[in-house]
Amino acid sequence: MDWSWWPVTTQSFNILSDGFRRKASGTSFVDTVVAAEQQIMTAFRNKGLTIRKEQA
Amino acid sequence: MTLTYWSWLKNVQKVADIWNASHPNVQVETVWIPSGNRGGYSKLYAALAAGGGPDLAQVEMRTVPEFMLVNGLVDLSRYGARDYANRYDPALWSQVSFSGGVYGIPQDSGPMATFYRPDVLAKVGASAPATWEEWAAVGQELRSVDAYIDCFSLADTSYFVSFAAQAGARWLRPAEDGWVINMTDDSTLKVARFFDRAIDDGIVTTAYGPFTPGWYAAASSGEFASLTSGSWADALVQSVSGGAGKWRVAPMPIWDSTGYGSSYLGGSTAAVLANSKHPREALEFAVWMTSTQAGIDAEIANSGIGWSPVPGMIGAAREKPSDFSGGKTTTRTSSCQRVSRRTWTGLGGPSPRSPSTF
Amino acid sequence: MSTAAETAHPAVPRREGRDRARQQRRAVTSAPWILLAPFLALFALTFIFPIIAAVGSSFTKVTRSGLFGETGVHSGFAGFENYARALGDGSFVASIGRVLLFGMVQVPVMIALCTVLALLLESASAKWPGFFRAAYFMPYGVPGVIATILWSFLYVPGLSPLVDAAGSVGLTVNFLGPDTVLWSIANIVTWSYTGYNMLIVIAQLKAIPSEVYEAARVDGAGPFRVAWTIQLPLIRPALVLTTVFSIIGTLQLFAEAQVLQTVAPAVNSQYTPNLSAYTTAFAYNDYNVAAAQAVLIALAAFILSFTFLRFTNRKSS
Repeated sequence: MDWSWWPVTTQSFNILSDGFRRKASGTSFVDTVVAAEQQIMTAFRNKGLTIRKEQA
Repeated sequence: MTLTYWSWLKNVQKVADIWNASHPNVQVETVWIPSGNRGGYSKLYAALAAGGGPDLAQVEMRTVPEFMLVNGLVDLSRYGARDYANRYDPALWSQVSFSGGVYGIPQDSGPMATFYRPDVLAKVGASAPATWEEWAAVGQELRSVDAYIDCFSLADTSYFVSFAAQAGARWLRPAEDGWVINMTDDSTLKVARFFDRAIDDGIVTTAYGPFTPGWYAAASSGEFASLTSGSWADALVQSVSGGAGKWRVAPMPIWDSTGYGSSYLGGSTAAVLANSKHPREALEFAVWMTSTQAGIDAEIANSGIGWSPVPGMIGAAREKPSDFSGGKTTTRTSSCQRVSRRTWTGLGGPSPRSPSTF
Repeated sequence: MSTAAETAHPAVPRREGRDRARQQRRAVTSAPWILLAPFLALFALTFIFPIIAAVGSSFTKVTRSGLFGETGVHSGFAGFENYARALGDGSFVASIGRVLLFGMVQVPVMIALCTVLALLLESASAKWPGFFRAAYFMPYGVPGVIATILWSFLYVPGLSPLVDAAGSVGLTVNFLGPDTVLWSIANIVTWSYTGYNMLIVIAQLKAIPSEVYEAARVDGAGPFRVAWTIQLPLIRPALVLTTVFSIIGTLQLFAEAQVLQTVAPAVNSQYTPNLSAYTTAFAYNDYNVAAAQAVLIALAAFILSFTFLRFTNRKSS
């Protein structure tokens, strides 16, 4: 399995679970994952790390 | 010399004592810390910031990069860690290797499997689902007998991450010019959509996550037909009141066309911390503990660790038959082994695994 | 000794004598400082310094380069960046809103409840007031973490006899749902602190001179009249004090939410402002933003308490 962990995993997991909790109020997991990607990129940049979105 | 080792494994000093008996010059003293994010890491971070800390510490796979970020780990490749790489499961070894260095020695892992209650599934005439589509169909039927196929933890994202990884996602990768993120790939979105539907259809409950008091209460009244989790969950499902001997294990369901046969949930390393004065000896202890028959057997007997990181050395205790086999010839170890072999040796090839190989 | 000093004195040149006088004066002015030094040192070290360190930390930022900061870590002045980040974090702002809502409901309920209990226990017709005073106060002796664990056995479906009982009469109650868990926490807090606040009110009630009661009785005041026109106005300071403590306590909500997190999926990692600062500091290892959050929480507590005191003072004058 091709998988690497990254330096803000705890925060990323919390970003996702905080989003998942909004499922009850109608936010789908798909929306949460899309939004989480942005928030995780922000978290990286706040630490001064460089991150970019994978080019399709 | 004396090495200190901070860990939340229970009775890990007994494991160290076995090493100490044969290594009079390198004695290992263990200190118990609360597990990971429950306080162990903040102790470690504080100790590192103060210029101290133990020689070795238990650090989860997923937290290794976080400790690297505070410059908290020793690159063990400088002390010859690569010589031991061939002992370890390559998938685990790759998770501790970054930018040409090695930042932890895999200690245990959690290859995923499905723990199920044949008696509950029998109410709808089903057996352990082989694919996630089947899982959803069985789950739908189970609602008619007031049972759930599983719960979905909103609070513990690691399950979702493991499912996405099983489907073939790779969220982040390090590249020359920084990190590259891709969480909106087809695999992740497929898994997200799948569980969106499962919850919308009421197939799973989100009222509690696995192993919370609510889950135990529901499980003991037979409300759950199955639980897909890490191999280490075996002891926990056995501890459901009235559940002893009722649970069986099967390979986890697969995604139809893509991805892998199984996934990992959890897993930790023995890492050497930046302020250690004896990194070479610390590495030797870590390798002894995690990759020799004596170390692994002692860790299983005393600390109840998850799945051994060394293929072919699952630990003597786990080669015996267990309750999970239901008294037949298959053992729980062989089914977990099958899961992990299927998953982790089949991963080298680029072609997605086909369901028929189970 | 003194004679030796006196005889030596005339031999001292004038200039030196002036110096000596100045030295004495200096000794007089420095003596209090020397005597105060132990206090001041401790005060500065244990009281002022942590505040300065937290505020300083909130204006600092650490940036890293490379994949893991391996090519450089810089720390420097951040200006208000950490504050902007804390306030730009929707979850943190939401947590402040959440505890404000909590406080607006829970604090009045608790203060009213503790006042009623205190008046009942101090009324002439109270039976076994000593026993009930101790009983109501007892929950305060239970640490918040333990109290939450105790209550969670009444909240968790499958374990809770309350949920079962409601279910048997056809009611579905969910104490841990997204809309209810905040009030489940309020219930734990009320249970824990009502008795404590009641004791403060009782202490003030006991300080009311008996002549006042006698005078009231002579004037023909019944128990309700006594409570309304004598006791309530006279325990005002105690009510103001307990309310201010409760407002501050509300902003500091932490243990209850953290413990319920394990059984209630609705409680997220930033459910209360303190939990948010804790998560930022110890889970994300971002002490600077956590310090900014801490300063903001302290400011909020200060502003709210101050506003409340101003409001009550104006009303009384």
